[in-house]
Amino acid sequence: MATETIRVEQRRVRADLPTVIVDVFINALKIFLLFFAVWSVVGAIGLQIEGRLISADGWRDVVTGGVVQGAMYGLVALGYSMVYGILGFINFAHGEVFMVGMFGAMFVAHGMADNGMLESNFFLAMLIIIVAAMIVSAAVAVATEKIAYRQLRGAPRLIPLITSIGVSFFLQYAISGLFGPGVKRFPELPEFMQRRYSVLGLLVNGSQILVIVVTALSVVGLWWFVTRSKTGRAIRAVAEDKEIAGLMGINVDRTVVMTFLVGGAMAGVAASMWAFLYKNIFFLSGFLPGIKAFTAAVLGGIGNLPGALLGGMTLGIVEAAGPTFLTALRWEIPQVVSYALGVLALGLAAFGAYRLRNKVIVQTSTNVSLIVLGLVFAALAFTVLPGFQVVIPGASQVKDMIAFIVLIGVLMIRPIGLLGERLAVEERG
Amino acid sequence: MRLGRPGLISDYATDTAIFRSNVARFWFLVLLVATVVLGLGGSIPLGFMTLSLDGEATFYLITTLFAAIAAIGLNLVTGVAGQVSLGHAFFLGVGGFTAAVLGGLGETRRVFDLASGDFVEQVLLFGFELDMLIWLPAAGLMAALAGLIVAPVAFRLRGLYLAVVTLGLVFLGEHLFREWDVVSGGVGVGRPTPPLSLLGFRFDQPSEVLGMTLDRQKKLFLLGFVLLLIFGLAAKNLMRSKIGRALSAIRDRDLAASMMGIDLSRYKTVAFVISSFFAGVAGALIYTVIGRILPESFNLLLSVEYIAMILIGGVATVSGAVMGAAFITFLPLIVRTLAGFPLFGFISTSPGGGFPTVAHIEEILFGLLIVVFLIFEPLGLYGIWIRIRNYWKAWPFSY
Repeated sequence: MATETIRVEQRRVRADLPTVIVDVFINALKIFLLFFAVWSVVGAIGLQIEGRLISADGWRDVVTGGVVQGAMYGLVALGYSMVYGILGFINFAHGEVFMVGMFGAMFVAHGMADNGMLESNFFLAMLIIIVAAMIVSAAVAVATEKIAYRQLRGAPRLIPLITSIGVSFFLQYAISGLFGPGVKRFPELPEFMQRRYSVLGLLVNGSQILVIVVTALSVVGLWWFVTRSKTGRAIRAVAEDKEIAGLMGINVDRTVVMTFLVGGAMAGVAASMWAFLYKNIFFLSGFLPGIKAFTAAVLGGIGNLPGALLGGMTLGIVEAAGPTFLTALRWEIPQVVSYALGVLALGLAAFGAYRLRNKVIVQTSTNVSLIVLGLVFAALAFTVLPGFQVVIPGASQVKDMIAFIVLIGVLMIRPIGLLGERLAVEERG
Repeated sequence: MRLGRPGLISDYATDTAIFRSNVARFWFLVLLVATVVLGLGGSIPLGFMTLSLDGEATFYLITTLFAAIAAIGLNLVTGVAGQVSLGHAFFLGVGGFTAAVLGGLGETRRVFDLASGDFVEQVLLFGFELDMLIWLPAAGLMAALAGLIVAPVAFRLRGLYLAVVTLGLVFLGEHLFREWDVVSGGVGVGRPTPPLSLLGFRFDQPSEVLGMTLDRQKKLFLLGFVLLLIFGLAAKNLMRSKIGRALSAIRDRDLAASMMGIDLSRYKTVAFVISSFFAGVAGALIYTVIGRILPESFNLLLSVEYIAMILIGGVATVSGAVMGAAFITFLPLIVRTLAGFPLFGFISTSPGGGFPTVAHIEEILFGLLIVVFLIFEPLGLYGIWIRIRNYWKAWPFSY
């Protein structure tokens, strides 16, 4: 039998000027983000070796603070992820569910502080506070589902999203109206919670230990609930495919309510912990944590429960360490390094030119961006970069911005998040 | 003989016409004349009441006219092209600050420089004192440029992710405005806006025009009215054109649109750029009329207000955007008027009063209205109007 040679036909992909320009722009943004990320990390190491950055105590605070904050983000992110996994929309009012939980925790805690229980029997009091916050948050979450979102089950996805923003304004100003717009204080904790303890060689605040323990317990509880219990299996089945789950005899409406309930309860746990650590509560305090928890959910891969926790932890640490790394940008890039970068960029440009000429790969615009960006970067590396330093004004105030930069970066570079998204069949693609 | 449902469009020419019928043309003219008469300070007797605009309502009306321009812009990108943008506040801000920098007064301070031992000029606020002929288009172009930069990031993403990226844009923008105080004047202080003078003709001072004495309000009203007409017609024409049809196709199903040969990235970029241009011009005008521009006012709430305008007014229609803008802008006035009635006596008018003050009701009503409209009337005020019209046209038959 004669051997047939298979000729792979070379496809020509249309690459008009706007597409190429856009690709160059997008690649430039990616390289820009990566370059500054690498610079700040290397700079931090360089400055740390010279002893010009922060002390060992500073790093310890960054890490413990980041982990504790990340644990709370993760708990709130679970709610976003579960609702997104099942209904396919972002419940922006989840941040307000969290805020209402903080108010619930605060009122119960003030009662406890008044009758002395917070002092005499702290752990029981704490348990009651957490359970109260869970109930309040879960009740509000379920109420929003029943009143607002259920009516919109079949609507295009934009509509529940905007509705959730409306719900979130409604909750904010209803709370502000009921309890006043001023900042409320959570009662002071007993002395042994404010002391520092040594855990694994790190000195950690008592309250921070409590946050970690409670988070771990609730995550284990949630894991058991989702994987082992009948309702949890129903939730997963509905998240996989609503119609088929309905055919299998699962009550979809009830399962959706359960999802909101569990998500709200997790937000309640996080809310009591947050109130406990940061003490100040007012009607807008759910907003930023909510947005950041959402970022965490996207970062981990939305719809993916372990992803939400991982994303929360990552975001917490990045956010805590971010200002430090931003100040590390003042590290001057040594001449050798910048020349090496320049040579590398020239090499990439040459590689792009080679690929473009030989049409090895059909993606013309990628090759053009390699050439353009390689040349531009090489020019920068040989002229500006040696000894160049960036001082970002108000680097310590950009903490809230870091979450958004992370969000935009994730959506540009890997939109499905760290662990990938898990979505219902009808939401995919 | 008319076939089919009333208002049914059965040929291409009707579908792309600016006015679908002579009735629409007639009422548009009536509205036009009535608005001009009202705006010029006249009053229209309606038998049982006389319609006229007093001082306060005129201010709201002027703001409505400018806000409607921005709402039409948002409607182009969100309503027609289906790309949810929560970043409209950012583009409004870019327009507002561009106008303030180009048209406004600069401010410098003499400070003692320790290095040279001499007094040097330190810039507190940039300002170039240019004419409105320059700063108004420049505000739009600057915002369009910002839209052009954002668009590549935006059109790679769809639906909710796009909403989230544009949400992030609002926060990054607000941070930028807050920190860049030589442009924005700093948090809580802001900067005064430029005078509205077009080639020496002042819109913000009373003067004699064509034998009529026009005060500031009337001039601003006329300016806003003319601009709204221009921008509204431009948007309407855009919707009728090839671009508009391409955008609608993208909204309905982007994959199908791209299979039909519509270049998604190009048309989404066009939608973003045009929408930002509208927002930039509107932002420049709104804050110039108010007289002061503050960096912290360009937050998510502002974006959501504009989203609410198009959702309450009606998605993907020019008249809907104008209705929505009027509704949202007049909401504070409506609530305050309601508080005057004995039935709503529980609303306290003083800011320090009990629970339901006017401000509270306003915010709560705002959230509630979005939810209610989306649940019961997804087409908005425009949809209600269409339903009433069809009902009367078909009366006494229901179909």
